[in-house]
Amino acid sequence: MSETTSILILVFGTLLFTLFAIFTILYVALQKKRQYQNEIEKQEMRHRFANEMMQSRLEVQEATLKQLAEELHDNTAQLLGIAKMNVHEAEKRSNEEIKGLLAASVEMLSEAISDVRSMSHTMNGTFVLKTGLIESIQKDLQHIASASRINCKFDTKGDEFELEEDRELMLFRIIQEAVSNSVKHGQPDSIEVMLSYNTGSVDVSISDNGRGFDDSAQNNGMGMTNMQERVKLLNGTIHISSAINKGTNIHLSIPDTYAE
Amino acid sequence: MQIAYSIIYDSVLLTASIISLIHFNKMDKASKYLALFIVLTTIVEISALIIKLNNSHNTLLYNIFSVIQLSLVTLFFQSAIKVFQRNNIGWIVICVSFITWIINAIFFQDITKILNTYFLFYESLCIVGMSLFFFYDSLLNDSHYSVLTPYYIFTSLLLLFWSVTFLYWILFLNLYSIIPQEKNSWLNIFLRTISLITYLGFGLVFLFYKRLQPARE
Repeated sequence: MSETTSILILVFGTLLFTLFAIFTILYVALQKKRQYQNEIEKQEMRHRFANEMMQSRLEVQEATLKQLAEELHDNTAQLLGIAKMNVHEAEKRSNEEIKGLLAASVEMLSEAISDVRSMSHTMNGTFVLKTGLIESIQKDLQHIASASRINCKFDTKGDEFELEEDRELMLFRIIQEAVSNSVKHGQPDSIEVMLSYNTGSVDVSISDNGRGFDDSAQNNGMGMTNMQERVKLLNGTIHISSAINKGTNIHLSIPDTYAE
Repeated sequence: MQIAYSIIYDSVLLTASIISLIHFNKMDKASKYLALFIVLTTIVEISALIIKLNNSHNTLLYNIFSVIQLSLVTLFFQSAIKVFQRNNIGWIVICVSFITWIINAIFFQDITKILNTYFLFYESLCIVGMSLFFFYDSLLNDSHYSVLTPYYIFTSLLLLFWSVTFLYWILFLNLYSIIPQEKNSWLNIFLRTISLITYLGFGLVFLFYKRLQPARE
């Protein structure tokens, strides 16, 4: 092999091998980038699917609640109303001996009608939206206060603004769930709800002086899971702090999508 | 000029070695083999320079080191590639390499007299092959998507170095017999420049080793 041929083979061959190495390195880098993008897309799809599933589940739940609320309002409350009228009539015609008993029954029936109506209102999403978030929370707490004799305090901070309808309803359901959990499991003497309207977000703090629980233990019940799922759907954050015999405090922050 | 260049080359190698030793404890097993590879290369290169300055032949030193060099690079791949670990492929490559080295030394190229270029050619084939397999395996199985990781950069540097010098080892004997001494010096400088880039790359990876670690996904 002559000198020129050897040099030519070396130069062009080396160039070829260098290009091959560079091509391989770049190809792998490019493929890795594509793999990463695919993985991101897959994760986004999984997230979207989970959100849609959650959304449909909540829609079904909302529809069931509405149906139940209508049933309570149109049927049970009506029947109780008729029963109250009848007892009242019987009270008028009865002798002094059972008059007191019947009067007390009328009183109880009035309370039951009021409770059923109030319950049906807070269960009905359309009614909640029509009434507004603040008034709905007030009504729910009033109902709890009268039904379970718990001292319920409600306060708002900041200038009230409207959230999107779906978000407002979901936020109300979260608060309702938190208060109901507190009554059911915490057996508190008092519950405090504070609604703060901040720039770009609505913050809610729900605290009670009940039995509390060990917040480090992973024992999320159905109610807690429901709340967390709803908060996730609202792109919000939830922080729960509790200790045994020290009550529970739940803090939620929901972004205002109108402000974004 | 060659001596001056050798001093620059050895200084870069020495710096890379010191960096690798400083960060040695932070490295995983695979990277430790390459750190050892850099440290041994530095020792060999400095020794070779001293031998050369004393007007003696340093061929034997390079010939012995070539098989150790291949073994260390193979151990890096043995630790970095899961398929290699499962089937002990790295150890098989090391055994075959030692046999090849011995056969070449006995029957073809005397290790005391001439550079074992046949073995170097075999070495480049092995390293290019293992580098390509590493890339193939990482595309199939690796859950880390970033390419700015020590393994990826080490393998890229190894692939680049051995691909660029691949033909040089095949043509080495031919080139030395027909090309004038003056042009051969230039070829040596070219080869050393490629090595310099590779070792500089290794040194930089060792320096930023912690930052280049892939996040656990």
